[in-house]
Amino acid sequence: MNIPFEDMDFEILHSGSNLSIFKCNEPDLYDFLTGDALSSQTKRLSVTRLAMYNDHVVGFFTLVNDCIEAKAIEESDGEPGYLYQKYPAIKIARLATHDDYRDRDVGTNMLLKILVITLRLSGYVGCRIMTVDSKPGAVGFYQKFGFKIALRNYKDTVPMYKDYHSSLMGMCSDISQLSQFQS
Amino acid sequence: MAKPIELGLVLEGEDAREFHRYMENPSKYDTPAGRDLVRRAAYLAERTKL
Repeated sequence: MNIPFEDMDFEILHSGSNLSIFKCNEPDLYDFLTGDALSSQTKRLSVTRLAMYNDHVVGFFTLVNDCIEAKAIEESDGEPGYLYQKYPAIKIARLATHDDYRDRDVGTNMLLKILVITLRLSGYVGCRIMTVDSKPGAVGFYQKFGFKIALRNYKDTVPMYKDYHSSLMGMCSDISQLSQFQS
Repeated sequence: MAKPIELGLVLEGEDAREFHRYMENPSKYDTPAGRDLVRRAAYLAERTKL
């Protein structure tokens, strides 16, 4: 049975967080949560939130600031040229669901929470794009929500991006409605 | 120890061209699930403070 977003809580990882029941078949994700996440957070290099359901850790995600840099394209091959561009972004550096809670919408709920954070954050600092380094097995999950694969040649993770702003603009009939996310 | 978090994505050649094309009309690449997620997030973000 799916877990509704409203039934989940999200808390920032802290030294007293109980991670003992968390299980994840991706060693890198498990190792990051149990070994590196708190240290990285203490140094202000990343922030990890735990997805809680009935006081159990059912997932986690880690966010950092990021940037996409797209090199200029020349017109010499007959197509329109493009200028060198950089876009500020927020990166989903890690996202994982507890093995026993797979296929219950935990990942979707975490992505929704990330988008809420991103929308709020964008009222304070420029943040146009969402990026993620997806595990190969999770690419379909992100594609379902409109993320696009960034690199033709990748190694162990698949870089992806999504311009959430365009979806938002399609919903807001005028620019004044966007100001509701600014404080 | 887990793999370090990598920051900054540099796109060159065809990857850069694809990105530029994407940014010309991102909504063309969006999905029903993606639009629904943004709609729900916008509703929740109105009621949330950082």
